[in-house]
Amino acid sequence: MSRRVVITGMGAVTPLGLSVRESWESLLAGKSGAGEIAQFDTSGFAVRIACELSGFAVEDYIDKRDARKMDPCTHYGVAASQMAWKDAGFEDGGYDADRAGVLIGSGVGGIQTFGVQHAILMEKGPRRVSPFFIPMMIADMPSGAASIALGLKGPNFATVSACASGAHAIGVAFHTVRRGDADIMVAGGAEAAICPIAVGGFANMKAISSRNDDPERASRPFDAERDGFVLGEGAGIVVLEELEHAKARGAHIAVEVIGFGATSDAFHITAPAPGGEGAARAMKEALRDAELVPSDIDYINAHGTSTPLNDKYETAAVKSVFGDHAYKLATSSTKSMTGHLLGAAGGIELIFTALTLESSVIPPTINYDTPDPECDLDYVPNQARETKVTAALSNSFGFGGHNAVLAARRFEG
Amino acid sequence: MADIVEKVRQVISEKLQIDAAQVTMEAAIVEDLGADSLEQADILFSLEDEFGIAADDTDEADGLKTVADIVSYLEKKVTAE
Repeated sequence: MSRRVVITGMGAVTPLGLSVRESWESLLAGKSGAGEIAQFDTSGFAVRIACELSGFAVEDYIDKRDARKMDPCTHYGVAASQMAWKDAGFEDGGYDADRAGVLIGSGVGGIQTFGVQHAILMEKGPRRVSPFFIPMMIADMPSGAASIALGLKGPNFATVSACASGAHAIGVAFHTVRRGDADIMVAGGAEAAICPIAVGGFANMKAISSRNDDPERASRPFDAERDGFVLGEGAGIVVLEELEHAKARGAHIAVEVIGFGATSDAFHITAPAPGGEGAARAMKEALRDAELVPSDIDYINAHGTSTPLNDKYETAAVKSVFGDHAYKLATSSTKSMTGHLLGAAGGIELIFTALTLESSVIPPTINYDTPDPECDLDYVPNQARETKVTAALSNSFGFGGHNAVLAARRFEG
Repeated sequence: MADIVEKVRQVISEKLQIDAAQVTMEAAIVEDLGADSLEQADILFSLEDEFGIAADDTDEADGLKTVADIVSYLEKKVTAE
């Protein structure tokens, strides 16, 4: 019989709070994490809003001497990893470090550091570029630094697939534990891209909402008036553990990861394939991997970015996979509240999916006011909903045509 | 001279998060103060920047081991400028 993989720990820093619990409570209350960008002067920028972390103090998690050699994306990734590790109850041992690994994805890695050091290069010349520039910038460093912080010596690398990076990390980590290459994987995503060069770039793609005068209502997935996503930042990390290993040490087990589907659109660098063709195949692959049929799924945590094309094609993809059942299951986008955490989105959204399975409360899609005829599913508009959820999917799609879908189920022995 | 010594001790203690009293003139940056090679380079480049030293000759800065080595390197450069 094949090995089963369960979630035994979760950690997060999100625009809705500096812990999983605080973020989840804000989600169920339908709170938006959006506001005017505070971390740099946005004069002259077409987009001046984002979902930023509030009150994050790196010294609460990382020694000051080490912290100054890390980009904020690594600060967030390490902080969330430590929370997840503690939540799993591993602080006092109970594991073989050689059989425990880390896999944290990031869309753009240390892009803040890149911007700062590039300015120094232009202004002062190459001799002034920090010797820490490269290790601060490279996108594998949240994973590398977390493995150092936790002392884990199993598989350690990063996935890079833009906004699907976190979901790919968890999917690959899930398969790593299932096939026996490790017993424990700390996995998820980390991102810190609210900086001048990234905001400028996303704005010029017309990918992000320019609703500057009403930030809390800017992220409005599936609503007819949507005009792009709102950038978010943070990290979401889970501890994936082989079931018998978790049982043997008496770990709290609420949710099992059961499937991972990954496909490519092979269509366009940024636009999704028409009809959500690649996304649909990823959902089918996740169901196949999980040995589920479409009618088993009660909830989909949508990619739901609030861009015109994503939400339309994701809806079409869900309908093509689920047929009539598409209208019976619930689909919601937590990005309506967190904003889009890019490479960290898949991490926090699997956590929210797991909490939905554990608590039987579905977080809403807020700012859903005006129905779009092309988006006609049950998006759990504006109010959280109590209902039993046994199995769920979490969708993530990234520029480059990367599609990653995770399947999870309430653990019932 | 006193300014340079003070600044060197301040930068090293800040970068390595150690007490300034530990940063004696005889202390070796790596062996005694625990810096790694990247921290050692970072300390030097920050001090060069602090004193506005043109960075046209990297060879001279190689092989600086102790706090005193860095101080004398900076003194020579500052005087030359």
